[in-house]
Amino acid sequence: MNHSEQSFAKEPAVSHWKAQRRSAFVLIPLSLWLLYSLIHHVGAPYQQAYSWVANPLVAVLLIIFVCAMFFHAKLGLQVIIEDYISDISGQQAILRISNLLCWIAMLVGVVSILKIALHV
Amino acid sequence: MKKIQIFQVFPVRLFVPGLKRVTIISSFDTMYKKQLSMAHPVRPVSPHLQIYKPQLTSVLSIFHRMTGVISFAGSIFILIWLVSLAWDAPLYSFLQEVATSIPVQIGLFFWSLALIYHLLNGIRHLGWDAGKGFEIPDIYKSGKLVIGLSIAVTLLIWVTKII
Repeated sequence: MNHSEQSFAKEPAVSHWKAQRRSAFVLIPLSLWLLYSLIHHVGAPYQQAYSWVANPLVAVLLIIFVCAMFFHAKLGLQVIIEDYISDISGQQAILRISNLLCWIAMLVGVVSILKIALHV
Repeated sequence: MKKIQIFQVFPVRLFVPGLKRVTIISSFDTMYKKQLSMAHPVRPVSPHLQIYKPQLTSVLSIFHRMTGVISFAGSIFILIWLVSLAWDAPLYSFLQEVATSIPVQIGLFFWSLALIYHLLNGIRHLGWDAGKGFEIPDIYKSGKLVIGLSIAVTLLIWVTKII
């Protein structure tokens, strides 16, 4: 089994390509909105930031952002890892760690937003 | 060791035409380099990043990856910010203090610049994927546009904050 066969065996390249572009589309408006909001809210008091995230519209947009962004990051990091780590077993190991970290980050983000929005 | 022996069995004249006598060199690597330096003293060994003269196209492409990783690193801080907001108010007040310090504000500025660049250059990539703007002059034009717009949009966001 050669290098490229082994890399793409688990996930077809076409679906990776499409997923990367679809998540990018979603992220264009969302990341502009979030960046603007963050820069304007940075250093805000706890209560102000809390009620901002607790706003239902903001919470929904934030959840979509966190999911799309960590998914997009997972796909992007995968390409970089495949390109720059030539040792195939090391590559697969680091790939697994990076994927796991992205899923955990996504989960932690969504749970945090839900906790704030639902006042749990 | 096996590889070296195989290569030494082959007539080296195959690799360097016109070269009659070749002294046997212990490792394949030094043998290869010696052959290359004999044939063309400054010839690149393999087409890799360090070999090419930086061009707008290649530099912007590398920037896209670098800014992608920088954006990801920043998003971890967004995550920590969300977690502190949800679970840990004292951590939030600590972050609040740190976030308003000058070095962090400067870092935040460059992080936003990296993110805006990645976003705009991403739109450029999506255009190419749709088959648009893929002629060489267009690629250079859109590349310069992306650089200009990144700086303009970033400054615009920060100016509206200050005002």
